[in-house]
Amino acid sequence: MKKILILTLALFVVGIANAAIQPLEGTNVVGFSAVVADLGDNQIITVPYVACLNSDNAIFLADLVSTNGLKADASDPALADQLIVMTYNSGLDKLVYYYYWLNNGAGWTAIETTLVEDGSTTVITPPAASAFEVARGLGFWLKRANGSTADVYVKGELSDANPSTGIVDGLNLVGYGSAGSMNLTNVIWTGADGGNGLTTTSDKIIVVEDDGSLSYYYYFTNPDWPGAYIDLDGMWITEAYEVADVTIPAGQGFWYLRRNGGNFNFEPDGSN
Amino acid sequence: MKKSISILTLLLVGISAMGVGLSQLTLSISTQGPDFYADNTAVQVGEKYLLVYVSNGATFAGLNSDGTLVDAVGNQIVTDAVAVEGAKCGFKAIQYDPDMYLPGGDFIVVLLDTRDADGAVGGLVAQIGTSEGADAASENSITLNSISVAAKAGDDPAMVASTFALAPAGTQPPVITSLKGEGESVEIKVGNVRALTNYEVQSTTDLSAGNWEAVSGGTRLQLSAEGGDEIPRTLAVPQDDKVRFFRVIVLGS
Repeated sequence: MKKILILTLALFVVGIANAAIQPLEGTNVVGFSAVVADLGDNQIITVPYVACLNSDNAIFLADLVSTNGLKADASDPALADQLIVMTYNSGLDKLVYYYYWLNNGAGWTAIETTLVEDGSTTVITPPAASAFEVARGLGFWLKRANGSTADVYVKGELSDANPSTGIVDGLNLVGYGSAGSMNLTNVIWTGADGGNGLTTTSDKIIVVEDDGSLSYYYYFTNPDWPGAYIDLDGMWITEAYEVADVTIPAGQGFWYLRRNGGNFNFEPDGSN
Repeated sequence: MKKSISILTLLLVGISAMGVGLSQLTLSISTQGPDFYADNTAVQVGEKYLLVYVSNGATFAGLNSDGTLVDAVGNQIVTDAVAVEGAKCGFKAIQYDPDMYLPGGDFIVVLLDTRDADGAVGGLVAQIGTSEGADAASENSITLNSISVAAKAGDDPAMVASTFALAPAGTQPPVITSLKGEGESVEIKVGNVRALTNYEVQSTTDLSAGNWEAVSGGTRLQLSAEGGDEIPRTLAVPQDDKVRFFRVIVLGS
């Protein structure tokens, strides 16, 4: 009897101890996302993650795109998968293109770009992929070599901060800096310009589809238009003036054409 | 605070945008190879390629033997590239202001044969080959532009340098100033020459038939520098020759 009582008491004590012990959660969550980029294509991909152990900090290009399964070559950049970034170079005061190719055994390797100007040329040497910081929301090209068959993955640490992407006048190569997909109808685009209801003057998003074709979407703001257009106010629309119910997969980038209104940061989850 | 940090981060990392005054286009070139010379030998490592812009309404008029364009108004040399292992043009990326090479014009890749008499590349341009034209992109292009010249069909080479470069304007007819020896070899000297021109020694044993053929080792003769007047050369001839005649021509004339 006493043994049963002790056993029961022991089991009760263990039960209490188990109820009190909570798992110690890690400080971060990391992940990867597959990006659709078929062989022979040029696909725009974007940065949905930040660097591991440095939430909110930028990630380096070499860490962003998983090279597992990508097509590498021992000596010829033309035969390998490539990453091409378009970014501003303050020394030259112009946009520059940084090319990187997947060098078998050496990883992403920088390729010099020749800047051709009237009467002169300048060699532009990109920073090493391991030293080139890319911010969430930055877009760049992934150029698949013929014979590339593997899926492409972007990887890194999830950030708690709301995604925020800078937009300037003209064409911007950007993306939605989130590990999840983005639907144009489900977010609030504070700062986007609706062109007074005209698709010829409004902000424009250009998406490169899987087959290489281009799809165009326009931001619409004009509360004074007839009733039929009220539901379009503050929405992205198609050329046919219909709501653009478009989902852009995680890791895929797009072009943002800013025609008016100057610089702004779009935070499409409405946090601003 | 968050918005300030976001903007600062943007400035530090760089702006991926094409704003007013910053606009640039990019283009990469390569050939898939193998590319060949006209004598059916594969292009050597170090051989030269050119990227040429052909203006709207113009055609590519070719090159002079000194590497300059025959039509410097309708054609522009954009950049050069180098042959790599595999007898092909190595990958090269350029960027440029959209105003430099307007849409409506074409980009072409030009293969040069710069082998000298000893077969080493880096001499004057003897022959060239060209690719199909690729449209120049517009200022608002959002595609990644590249030219990768592929083989035409089956085992056909991607490019063949088979068109002669032209002798520079004003080139005078050469003259043989001396001939020594007979039997297994002869030594000739060619005068009235200039440094930017390729010369070829030809021979025949029957003047009436007119079958002149290039003498081995006597093609692509070049002066090492402008100012010299004669090109000395020892040429092998058939051992049992009883008679042989020689002349010198200007390649590409």
